[in-house]
Amino acid sequence: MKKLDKLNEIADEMFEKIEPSATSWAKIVHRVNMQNTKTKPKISTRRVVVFACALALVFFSGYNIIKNEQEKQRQIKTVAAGSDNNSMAVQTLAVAKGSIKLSDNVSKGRVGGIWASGSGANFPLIQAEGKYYRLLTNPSSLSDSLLSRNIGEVGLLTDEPALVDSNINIISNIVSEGTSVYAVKNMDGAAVAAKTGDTYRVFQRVSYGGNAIVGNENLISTLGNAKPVALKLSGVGTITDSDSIDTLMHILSRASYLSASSGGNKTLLLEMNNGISLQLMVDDEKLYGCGSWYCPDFFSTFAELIQ
Amino acid sequence: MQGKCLLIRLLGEGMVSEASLEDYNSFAETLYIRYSKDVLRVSYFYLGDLGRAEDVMQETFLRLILNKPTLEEGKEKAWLLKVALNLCRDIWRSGWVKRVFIGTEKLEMHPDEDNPIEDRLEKQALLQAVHSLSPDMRETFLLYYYQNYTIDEIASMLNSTSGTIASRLSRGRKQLKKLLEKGDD
Repeated sequence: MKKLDKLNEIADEMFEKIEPSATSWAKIVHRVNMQNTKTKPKISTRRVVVFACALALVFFSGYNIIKNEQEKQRQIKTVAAGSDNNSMAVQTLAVAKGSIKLSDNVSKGRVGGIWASGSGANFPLIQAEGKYYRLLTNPSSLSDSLLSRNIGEVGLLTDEPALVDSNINIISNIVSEGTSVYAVKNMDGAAVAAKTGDTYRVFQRVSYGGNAIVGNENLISTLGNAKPVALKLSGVGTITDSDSIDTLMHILSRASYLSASSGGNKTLLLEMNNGISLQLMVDDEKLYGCGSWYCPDFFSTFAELIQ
Repeated sequence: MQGKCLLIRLLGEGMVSEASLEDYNSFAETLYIRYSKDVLRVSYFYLGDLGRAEDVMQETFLRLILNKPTLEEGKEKAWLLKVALNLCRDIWRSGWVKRVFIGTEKLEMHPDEDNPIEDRLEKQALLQAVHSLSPDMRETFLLYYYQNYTIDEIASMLNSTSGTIASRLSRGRKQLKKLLEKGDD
């Protein structure tokens, strides 16, 4: 079944001699000319008038309906949740006590992971440039040498990051206001780093509040450009062979985006050559990280390569 | 109301031009040169009959020229394949299939003779297995694995939902696995 992923190459090879005949285009043009020489039926004046009246009736009826609806419509003001009172959010972890807990375990029911958990859906996160990043439990301290461009400073610390005004570039429910946020080297768009306490911590790109990919991103865009040196699929095994990793990453580049939903009951850990590991949740055919992605070939190929 | 209809822009390989109605044939010919082979091969893969596939291919481009649709940049091939697959589906469901096809036709293939025979047989078995899937699964597989479209794009082309397309791929893979394992026996 692993050849299914190469169906296009196989089919082109096996159908090499299947080509349009030399006269195909000429036949098409001939048929076009035959069609164009047929006389078109006249449209009666009466029909035109009836049609125009019907069109006018539809237009004015529709206009009145729309006008009435607009008058009935109310403006609903949205209000950013969370407090924008500067005096409230000065220190790290200044959100409501007990709402954010750092933990080595992912949510109950999932097998071994590095995503820090929180209370309910409010895991420790940063929102920067319209993208969401979740705190990782590892590494516990990131070297300065892995910091890349300065994205900006946290503009707001709030316990409701999904509802905040989009005019604020960076918000967080764990990193204090005024703290600088950096892209991680070779992982721009996939991971950011910021200080919580005295050390830099890594936050991985995820979906949150119905938001996931931006523009034409694919799954690989959300994992960055650092090269994986190991892929560990829970319940299956670990692959460290570089050719096999290349094959699997190529397959992941073709994963189809489904939605911004989360899910999965097992984990896929990608250990990168910069020492940082990223995590995706998985089930039999899908991967979940920044959005949910359909990629059954990844799992079948992984299983074959691990044998 | 006559007059020029400047709707189409063709990009790529340094060609950027705006086509008037009068130039549509020229635009269509460019698409024919670029995509007729793909349209033919997909149709052949679907129908298993080269003559019918050639008819489908010609009819597809005929409709392009006669209907002059407004094609979104980069989506010309998707439009052509959508039309071709609609035609293939109609043919498949017609009496032609019952009269001509069942139990006799096999895909005509021309494998590279330099490849080891086991490799060739494996490839042939795969193509035959895909060809033997139900029409819905077959066209989904052709678009996903053969033409490398995404699930969303396929859903749009086939007027379906992403969930349905994903489900067809899942079921199709299971069916293919059974077919290929059965062939090994």
